[in-house]
Amino acid sequence: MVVKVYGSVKAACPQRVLACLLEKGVEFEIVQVDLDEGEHKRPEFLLRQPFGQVPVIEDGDFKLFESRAIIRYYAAKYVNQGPNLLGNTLEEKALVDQWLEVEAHNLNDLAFNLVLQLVILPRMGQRSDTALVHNLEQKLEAVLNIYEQRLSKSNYLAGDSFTLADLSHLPALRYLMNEAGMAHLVTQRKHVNAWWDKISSRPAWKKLASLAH
Amino acid sequence: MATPVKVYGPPLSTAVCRVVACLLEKDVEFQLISLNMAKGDHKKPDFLKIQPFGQVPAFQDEKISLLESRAICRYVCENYPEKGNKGLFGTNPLAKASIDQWLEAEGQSFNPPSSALVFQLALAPRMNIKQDEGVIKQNEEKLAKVLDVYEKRLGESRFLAGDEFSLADLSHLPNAHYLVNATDRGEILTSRDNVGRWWGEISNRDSWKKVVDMQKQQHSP
Repeated sequence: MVVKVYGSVKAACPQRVLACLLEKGVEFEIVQVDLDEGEHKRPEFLLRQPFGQVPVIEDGDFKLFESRAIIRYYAAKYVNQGPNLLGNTLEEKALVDQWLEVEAHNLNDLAFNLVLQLVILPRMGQRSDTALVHNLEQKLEAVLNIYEQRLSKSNYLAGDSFTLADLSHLPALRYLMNEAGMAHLVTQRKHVNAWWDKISSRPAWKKLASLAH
Repeated sequence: MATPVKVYGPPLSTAVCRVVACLLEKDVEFQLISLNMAKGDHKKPDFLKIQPFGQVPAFQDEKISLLESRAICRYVCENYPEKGNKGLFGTNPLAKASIDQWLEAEGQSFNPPSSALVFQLALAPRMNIKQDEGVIKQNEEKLAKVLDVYEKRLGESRFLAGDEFSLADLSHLPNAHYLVNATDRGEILTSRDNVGRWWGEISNRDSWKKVVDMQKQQHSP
């Protein structure tokens, strides 16, 4: 049974799920949801995802939304297939969860708002707020300093191996470094840069990036 | 006998309460080491060693040091599967997935507007910070939309993730409690039939009542 992933291959949250499925070798089918046309706010879509957001998956009768819940589910379901994205001990798994939460609560909003200001608003012909951009950048620098500290002691966020914690960062950081022109945030930090090189060179991510961009 | 786990942070902090509620549900002995955030305890070097973002809570047991309340809760559930409420994080993968889904919904959709409202309406006045009417209005509208989704869901399901109380419901307790008890906007929850019913049930749990007692024993910040 092929997992249906509703969303766009270009959108960050669906990419989080697609990267995980590619890493685990799980077959999927992308069902396009036209965000520009507001398809995600229409009644038929709201039946699948009541908050009107992407992604949502359908796996036979099983449905699930929230990208970080979806990746946890599949990483556990297919723990013995492909790389183990959850850590080998309870403690490692706890660190995976910790860094997933750090990404969700300390980094994601900053990255999203920077991309909004620097990429999306200009595309819509609207002016971005320079003071806000500066403020966001400063906050993100402070967060990435902590990542630099962590990654100077550990190859990956949760330990010695690539896990969901690292994977979860791929979509937003890619947008930040490319379309938003903020690559210096990563490249100026020795360990964050080395980590980024490793995680973004993974075949699964490269495959997704080629599908998407 | 295991040594009690340690939780760092003031009992009035919503994120600290999330962890304390979970420990109480799971019947796990803990020691709460309070911090005076008004004095900047959370930004001091000793604390930054265990929580480099300078946020509360931090958690330590014999094996690990952790941050982020929702990660700590998940760890507590998985490390003590046989203690207290065994079903708090589900007893099979599908149940767990549903709980994770609603835990993420709480973190991504409920938490931002409810936290903003709690800050503006309950905390800012106490800290002599001027309230921002624009922010209040914006977040009321956002939260109303989220609670419309919850209203529908809780008409179909007793608790968010299914028939049993879970970590997903628990995660909402701290912010919802402040909204209902420390602001005049509580009816955003209580005026909705299903959300109101759900709020009544989850806030009446013994574990949450104990958390509320702990908070009352603290002086206001």
